[in-house]
Amino acid sequence: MTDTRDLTRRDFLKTASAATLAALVAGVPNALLAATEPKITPTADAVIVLWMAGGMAHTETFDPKRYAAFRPGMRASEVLSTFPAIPTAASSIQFSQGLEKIAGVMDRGTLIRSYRAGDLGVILHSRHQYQWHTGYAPPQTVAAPHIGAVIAKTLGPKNAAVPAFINIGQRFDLGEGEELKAFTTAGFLGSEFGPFDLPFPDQAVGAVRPPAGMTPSRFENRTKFYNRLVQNSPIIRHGSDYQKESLIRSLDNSHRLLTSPASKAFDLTLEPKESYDKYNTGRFGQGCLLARRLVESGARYVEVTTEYIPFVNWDTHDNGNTRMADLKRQIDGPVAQLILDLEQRGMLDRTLIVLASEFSRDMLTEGRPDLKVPDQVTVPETLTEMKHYGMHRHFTDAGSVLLFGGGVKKGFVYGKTADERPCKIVENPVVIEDLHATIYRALGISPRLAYVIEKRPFYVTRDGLGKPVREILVQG
Amino acid sequence: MTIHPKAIFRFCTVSLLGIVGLVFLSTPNVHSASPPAPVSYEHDVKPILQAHCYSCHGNGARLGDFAIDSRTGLLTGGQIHPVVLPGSSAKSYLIKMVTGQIPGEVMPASGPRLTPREISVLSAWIDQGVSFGETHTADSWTAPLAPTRPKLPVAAPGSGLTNPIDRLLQPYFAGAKLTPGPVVDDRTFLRRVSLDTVGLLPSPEDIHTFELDKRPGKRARQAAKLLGDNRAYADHWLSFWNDMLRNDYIGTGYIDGGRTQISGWLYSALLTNMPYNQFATELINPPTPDSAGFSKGISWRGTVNASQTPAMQVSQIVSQVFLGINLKCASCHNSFVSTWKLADSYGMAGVYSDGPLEMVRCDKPTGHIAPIKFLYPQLGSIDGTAPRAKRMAQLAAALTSPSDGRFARTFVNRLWAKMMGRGLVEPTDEMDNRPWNPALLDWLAADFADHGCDVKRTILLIATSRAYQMPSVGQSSERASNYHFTGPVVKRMTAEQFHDAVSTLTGDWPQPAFMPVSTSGKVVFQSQALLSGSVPIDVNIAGAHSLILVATNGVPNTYAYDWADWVDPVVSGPHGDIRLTDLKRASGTTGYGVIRTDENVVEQPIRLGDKTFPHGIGTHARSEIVYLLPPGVTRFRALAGPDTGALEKSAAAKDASAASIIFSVRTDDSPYLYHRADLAVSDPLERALGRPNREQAVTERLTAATTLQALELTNGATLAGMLDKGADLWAGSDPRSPAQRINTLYEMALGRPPTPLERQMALQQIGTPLTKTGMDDLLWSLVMLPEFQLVY
Repeated sequence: MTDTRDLTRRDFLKTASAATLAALVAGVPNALLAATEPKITPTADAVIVLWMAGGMAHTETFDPKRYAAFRPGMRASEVLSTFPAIPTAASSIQFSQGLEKIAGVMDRGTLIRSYRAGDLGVILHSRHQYQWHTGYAPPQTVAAPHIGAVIAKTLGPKNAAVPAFINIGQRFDLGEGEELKAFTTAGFLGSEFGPFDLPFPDQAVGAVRPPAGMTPSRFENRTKFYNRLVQNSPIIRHGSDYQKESLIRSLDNSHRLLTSPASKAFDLTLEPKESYDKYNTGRFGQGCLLARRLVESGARYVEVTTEYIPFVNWDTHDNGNTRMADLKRQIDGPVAQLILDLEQRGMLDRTLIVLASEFSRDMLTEGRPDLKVPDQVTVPETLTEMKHYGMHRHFTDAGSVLLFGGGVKKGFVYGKTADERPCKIVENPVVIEDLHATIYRALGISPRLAYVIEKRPFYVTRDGLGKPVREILVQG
Repeated sequence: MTIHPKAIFRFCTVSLLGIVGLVFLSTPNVHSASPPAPVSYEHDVKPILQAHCYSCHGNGARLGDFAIDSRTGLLTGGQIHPVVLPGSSAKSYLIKMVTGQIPGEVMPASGPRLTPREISVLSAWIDQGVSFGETHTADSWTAPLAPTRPKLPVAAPGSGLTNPIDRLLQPYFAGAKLTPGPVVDDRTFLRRVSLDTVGLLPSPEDIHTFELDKRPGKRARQAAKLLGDNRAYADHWLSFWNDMLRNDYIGTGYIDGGRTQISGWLYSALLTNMPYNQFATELINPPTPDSAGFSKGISWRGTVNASQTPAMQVSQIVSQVFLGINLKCASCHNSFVSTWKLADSYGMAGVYSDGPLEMVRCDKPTGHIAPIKFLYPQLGSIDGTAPRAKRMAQLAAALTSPSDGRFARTFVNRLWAKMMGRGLVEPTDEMDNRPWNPALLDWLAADFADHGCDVKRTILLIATSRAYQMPSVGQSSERASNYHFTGPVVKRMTAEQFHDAVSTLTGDWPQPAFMPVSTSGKVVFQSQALLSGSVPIDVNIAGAHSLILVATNGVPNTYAYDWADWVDPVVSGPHGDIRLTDLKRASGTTGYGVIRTDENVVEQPIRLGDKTFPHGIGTHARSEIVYLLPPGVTRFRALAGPDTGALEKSAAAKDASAASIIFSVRTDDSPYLYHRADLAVSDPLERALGRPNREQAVTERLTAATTLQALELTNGATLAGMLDKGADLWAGSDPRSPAQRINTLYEMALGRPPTPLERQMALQQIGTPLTKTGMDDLLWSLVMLPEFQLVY
């Protein structure tokens, strides 16, 4: 078989970078930004979102209040925190017990204690998660893109061999899976910018390897055979057509990705055991390790979730105290290690890490004090059993967000909540569009950037209104 | 398209959803915008004026008797000067004032002076011509509302053209100095028309028969035959409608009952080719609950933005789907890009509400009530005081009125786009845009309306035109502009078409989420709805090719233990009785679990009444089980009933309905042995290939291949699993030689035999002796070929 055609094709493909492929397929939508927009100097090149799925109680984690130890017969109203407070490396900040390792790195980051979740009425976790991740409350008239997709579309991949938007730890065939799918998407931006889903970190490498059970030599042989078939196809060989070209090029890109050295980043077995053990508290911990490896290899946006499953993980409708202790154990070591590892590699300064949740929890208040919504959890006035002891209702009037690296201040706390119930925001509320604007600002993206869909601008923060929380950024 | 001048200024400050002179950025370097870029009034100019000028000359303040917060104000100014002179910033009063050229009259009179950058923005805007709206030039086209009936041009002598489409295209081609070349060959035509009408690859037998047919008119006959296959047609077009009507088997909203499927109604409408006007009517004004899901919309738990209430959703989706009108902008404020107003969206939403609605502009109640009305009141009035049902009927009547040319145009344009790869009007949701051939659009629409809105008839008309049979044309990008019709545009198979095509090659079909009620064949037995007990079956099936055991729900129930048992099913023939379970089942579906042999569907002994039976089939209604019969069998016998275990379960459960099952037996000469991809829940492969979440109405899918898609195709488990089964099939014991198998495979996949070179390469690939992995890799390579995935 002659190789000249192959060579020609290979030359052609060499010139067809990922960018031209994207240009080929991404006729729509166009970005738009007013000409008067000032240029923003980015302070971060990559983002890792650590997602505490299910509603993380601020009073049990990063914003401890008066501790009341469990005793049968205690009144529910007595309980603000079910753990004592502990000091952190930042002298003005205390955490809740069980987060000692993250406390040890708090001098590297900023804590927002005044995240205010949306007023979306009766609680549906996935709806708040939708709003957190897209900036818009569902339903929407167009398919709203996930923040990871916006970043992927706007900045592109950092390394062409690593997908720009990687989503670790979430399965979609469990409760509210359809609702999760509705926002874990590039939406109208087009699937090129959609998530690369890796539900099981320890199996992630399978997604970037030749198919299961196929040896590398068979994989190469199959690719070669396919390329020869394409070259010798007697029909539609001639003429330019974006469908044909995009198909051939996308397969070539996928082949390159599957055989790229970057795919090693997905393989957790290549991590030294000592390091692996520091992360290995379970799937979430492994996810943090995978995120670190991917960011090292040039990932742009990585999200690691504790996984949302109704009534599981952070969705503590009962046994809050007991479950909280385990949840903290899952996140404490890996999150701290992620910060330390990135710092040690000199990457923390250019990587923004955001730990967040869709809303907080409280023992008594469902929704917010001035806008209560129907209770979904029965809480007895008097606690008789341990299972009653914990933050079981969904609270939207305060929440903690932890940020590290990527241009945020160190050892800094922003916003304040009341020390007595309701432990709501009393200072500097931050809403989702402002939090997004802050992340975007770190990446050099304007909150007023919009993409045109159906002739109208769809802004990356709600209606272009997001304002970065300048106080927490080093460059302001 | 025209822009309502007032609309520009009635924007709302919290939601600047106007598309105005904006900087379009083609590269990721989004901040490189510099002066020659068009300046936007909304984004660039207005904020400056707002900051410096409005306190005296805007928002109601008219110092010096003029305000500059409106187009009129800026262009006509006060008593003396126009404020701006389009094209000349140097001569514009505004620039003179802010630069201090008029001594003692520098503006702003108080507060900080404008920065040089701000002045340069204002100057650039004036020099660029003072645009308040879109940057592109206005299209003078106004889409007509009434139908028109253009005269059919006479076919040119000797042209042999009979199809009206081709006669209408004659002047178009002549004007463009184009001479249509020969039509495509039979194989190309057959593959194209099969994929476009029923979504399936033609079988090698179909190709062979078609090629051998030498009688005239065979292409028209073939197209009609395909369209006459009601089930295949319905199976294919179901996706198109599911996308548009956002119907799906799972999805957001179902969790709280905030959404209802219309699958049964939709499928049956397609199966019977329901006239399109009736189709629309039944969606808008549902005669039964079966089609009510469309206008019910999708509700999530919790409070919803005023622009997204179910009634507003109907307003938006009805106008989008049936009229190609986008009311989404005008659901929050008067549209900046069309003439539609908030009152139009709310006026139509009112039809579905308890009464007229108060308008909410950008989340702020306005205090104004929108009178209930249709977008085009001239087509029919809606009595706002009438009960809801009456209003819905009036809306349906107005929309489908014979005077509503737009209704038919919108739909025939969609059909044209599906068949030809690109609409007469693009995008197909923007029917105010100029068609590339208005006469053709109008004629097709009028013809459609004049012939009872017969969908298949128009599809056939298109499929039998010479235009459709011209060689396909590749496009340079997904939304290539400067379009000229020179033949159908190359399309990519949809996710479902690809899935079905792979299933065709591998024999691996999905389990359906929705099981259409089969109507073909003959019912030889049907029971009452059985709540308990059992019914003996003993029926004549002499001469039948297949036997279909059907269990359906007796009463519509959302949740019940409908365990259906077929006890001791036998067919008897010349050689005595044959246990049905000893025959190979040709296909089978069950509403829950998997079909069991000699136990019930939950793997317990089969019990009917108080008896336990060792032999039988356990399934769950709905269920259809197909057996191909050996020759000579004459009778079928069985005992059927709801499993006693199910009755016990129902009785014990608080929230379950009682079991209720109808058992029926059918015979069919050509039974359906598989279910197509669009009847199943979307899988990762289809999601990657663009089958959408049906949260919004999707009328066009993006089809260019992406890297994430390619990854799914290269190492995704779904496709790998299908190909593995296919490799078993093609590498298994088979009297045919490897070369013969390759021939057949090529015929099935590509509609042609392999070239000698391809045959040689394929033989080498599958190995000698033939290996399963070699066959697997050949299958993968074939289905990755553009020739396989494109409809050309």
